[in-house]
Amino acid sequence: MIQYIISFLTIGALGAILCLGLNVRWGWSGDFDLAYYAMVAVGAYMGGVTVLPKSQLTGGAAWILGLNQSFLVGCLVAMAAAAFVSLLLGAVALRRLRGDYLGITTVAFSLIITAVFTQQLNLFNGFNGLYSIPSPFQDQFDAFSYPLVFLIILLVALAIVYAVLELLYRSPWGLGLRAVREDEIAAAAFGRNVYVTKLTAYVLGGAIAGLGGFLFANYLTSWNPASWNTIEVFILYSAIFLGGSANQRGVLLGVVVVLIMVPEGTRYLPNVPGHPDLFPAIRGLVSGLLILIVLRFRPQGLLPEKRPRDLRRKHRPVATVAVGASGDG
Amino acid sequence: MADPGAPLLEVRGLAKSFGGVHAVVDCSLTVMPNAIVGLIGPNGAGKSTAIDLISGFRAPDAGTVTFDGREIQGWNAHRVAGTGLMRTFQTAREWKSLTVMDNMLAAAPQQGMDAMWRAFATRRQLRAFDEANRATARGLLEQFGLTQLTDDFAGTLSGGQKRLLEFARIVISGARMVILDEPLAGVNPVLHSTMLDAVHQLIARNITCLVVEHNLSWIERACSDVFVMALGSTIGHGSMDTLRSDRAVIDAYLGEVAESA
Repeated sequence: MIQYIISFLTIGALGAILCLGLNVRWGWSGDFDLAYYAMVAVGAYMGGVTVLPKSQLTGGAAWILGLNQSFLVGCLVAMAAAAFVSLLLGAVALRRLRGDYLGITTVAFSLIITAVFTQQLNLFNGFNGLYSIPSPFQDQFDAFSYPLVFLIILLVALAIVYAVLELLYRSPWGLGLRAVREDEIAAAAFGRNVYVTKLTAYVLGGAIAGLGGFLFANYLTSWNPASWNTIEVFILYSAIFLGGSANQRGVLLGVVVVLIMVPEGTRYLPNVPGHPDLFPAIRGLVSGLLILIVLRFRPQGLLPEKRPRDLRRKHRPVATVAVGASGDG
Repeated sequence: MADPGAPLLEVRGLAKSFGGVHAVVDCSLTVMPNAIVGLIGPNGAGKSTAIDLISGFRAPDAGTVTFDGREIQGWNAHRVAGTGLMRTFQTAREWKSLTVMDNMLAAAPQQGMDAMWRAFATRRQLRAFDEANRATARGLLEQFGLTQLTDDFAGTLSGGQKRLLEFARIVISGARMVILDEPLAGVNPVLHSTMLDAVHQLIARNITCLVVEHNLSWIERACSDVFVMALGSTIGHGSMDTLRSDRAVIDAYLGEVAESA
């Protein structure tokens, strides 16, 4: 039983990290990005080849680097690589494209990345991909208790991501980003550099995608083109829509519903003889139906973005620190 | 800094074409510090394009824009705004899903605090910045009669309230001059004198105003100095009284108003 709980909490924690990163792009910045899973894959591959030893494969199939580094170095490389790819794509796509056009461009980018990683055999070993990715700190624990250790690693990562993002959301940068989301032209008219603001958010989202991807690869201990797919981003979107875009707690709630409750709730339905595909299909249907119902009756999600209250604040005396001189006068 | 007698904004020979359409041919105007200057003209005269060119939302093909002694033509909109030359739009552009207070805080000068890494500055620094802006914002919302709406989403405000919020945002932004693009559009006529008061509040805070408006009686009440544009060029300049006796202005614009009135 405990192993079972650990297993779905592990999936939930991975999904939560991925969704929080996508929420920066969609919820905070308002960009309908469909290249997110390409950044997840870049993080998984680059983190993988950082922790794996040199490739011993011959005959064209191989992987690059093979640095044999520690888990933490892998995390950093994964985040940096995914952030860099996000910077390249965002620098081109975010200059002018918005809405559907941004979606089309990013989905094309993601499909190109998939093709390159699959076809270029000496990059990440083509379709066979990376395998035997070492699990972090596995040598220090026995096989029975290790799933719990790995879950704790994920929960620590999730807590750090959540806390850092919460700080950013409440910062003047976060407010500026929301202003850009609501009306770019007005934001520019008040001195905001719309392009740079959106691009930083896009790169931030990419870094978290990279981290999530590398953790995912650690969980699977392998990573190949069958482990990820451009369209999987819609599962993440459904969790965000359902929970509440831009509200981090809402996103976590959406993850619990879409990635844990729906699959686990339908797991023990009896099998219908001769129709092995029935219940996986029902799962998909239930997810889709849930999203339609939420979009129809509560388009802002179960936990919408919070409305800050100024009138209820205790009015503190203004501190006399040089920064933040008033614009009055 | 320019010398005190110099104009705050000086526009010379501004021009912009879209394909074969010459939207702005020769726009020249001068705004002295702390003045309320009007810009009028028939539909299609190029007023809106001229504003876009001055405020950096479009790049001019030719001409110069000098603000406070600095040539700023061709700059990006956010850089122009950074010099203290702000603008509003024909429709109020509030940040809809932000509260009225957050609209104010997001419009306040950021002094570099909006950089991403500043989110990890000390709590004391962030709080000092936040509280100082809040205090200023509360004072301004009070002054513009918006205190009750502080925590409402800006998108739920009425047309007139959105305009007042826009004025309050201009003041908190630390603007030195603002170009108001049809400030009466979407505002109940009952509130027209409230809008006039609001403009005077800007002047009282040393914010120079250039006002584009179709309501000529309101312009006459607000501005002693008015520029007239027609077919992409500024063709007249003076008080409304002098403009009424200007042949070129009557032909291009005022004539049709006089007949229809």
